[in-house]
Amino acid sequence: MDDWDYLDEKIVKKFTTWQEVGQNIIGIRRRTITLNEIVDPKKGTFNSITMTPDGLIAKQHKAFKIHITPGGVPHRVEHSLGFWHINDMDELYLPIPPRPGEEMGHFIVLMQTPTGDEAESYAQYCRQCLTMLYEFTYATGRLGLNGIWRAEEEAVRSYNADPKNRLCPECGHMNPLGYCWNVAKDSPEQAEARLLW
Amino acid sequence: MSTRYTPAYDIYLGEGDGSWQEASRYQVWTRKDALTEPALSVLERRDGEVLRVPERSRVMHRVPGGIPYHIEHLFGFWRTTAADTIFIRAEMDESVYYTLIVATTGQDVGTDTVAWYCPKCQAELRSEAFDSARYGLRAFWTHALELARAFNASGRTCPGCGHVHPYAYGFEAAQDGDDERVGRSTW
Repeated sequence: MDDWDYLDEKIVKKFTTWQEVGQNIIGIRRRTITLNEIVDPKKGTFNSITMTPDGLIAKQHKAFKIHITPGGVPHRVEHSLGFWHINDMDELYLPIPPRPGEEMGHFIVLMQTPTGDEAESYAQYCRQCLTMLYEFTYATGRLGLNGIWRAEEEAVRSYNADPKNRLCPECGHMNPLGYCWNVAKDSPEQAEARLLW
Repeated sequence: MSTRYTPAYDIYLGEGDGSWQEASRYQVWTRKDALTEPALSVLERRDGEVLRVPERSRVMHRVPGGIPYHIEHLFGFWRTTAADTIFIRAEMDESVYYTLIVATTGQDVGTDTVAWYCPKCQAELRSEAFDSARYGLRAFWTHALELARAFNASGRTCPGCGHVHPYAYGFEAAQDGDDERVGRSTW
């Protein structure tokens, strides 16, 4: 018998990182969630940005608002993801505010389990003109969920390794360093970049 | 013909007309009820047993694809679908927010089954398959209501033990006839 209530205090801890459960990959983060905003205690307000043919669209997340980013759409979260995530799979976010007497609510994130050639990319675009500078693809469907953190780290490391990667060939803008989702992985220079973008 | 590019979807819990919403490859249903209304409680049939998902102030439960499930007061039959269904219940102040989420990648959409079992001896009374991959989810709920009405008209008495099954009903309460309204309040 699998777990019956993922929000049960004994079970929810399993979902602090990603867990593959049946046809979905599930993450549940404890966050300050109100009717106006979501706050990560380590990173600040959770504001996502989506790249569209019409330019960048900023999205404010708040309690009881489901947000779905369809597969293939580049998206990032300021001060949280130091790259653009391009996932073949849809991603669904559902913030639930805290129970009475609790400080933190549940920020539920779902994505469909990738199979076959379905993959995800960690990409960099020029902050000035949105030219793609760099893309590192991880074949999640074939290689499995367990490798995504190593892939993310490698994508950031290889992009940061050569300043030429950060220099836009179109407009000449020098872009900031990339950084990983996990704050603990930041070098001092990456921590500075996290504050910037 | 080109497909319209949609960079994101936003769905506000408890708002809308209470019907299923299709957002990219997700299907989402949500409703906000007063806490005083009968709870929408999830039941599953596993290995011949009927199991109830705990009714807590916060619940997130996965109904795995292939497991028959019934949600009391929401639809009056047992549904089996190929896709996993995520059920979320969240109380807030004097309200409760319900959400159902189904991710439908190509390989997960297949046949849906509508069934009824005798509550006393657990014998299967009726079971009908529906090709959701071909006809889509909206057509499924319409078809399920037709099957529920046919079941109410002729199939409620268990041939094995003689027990009479409560009235069946569809998904949309607004479409309930008198018998279906009685069924919805019963189970």
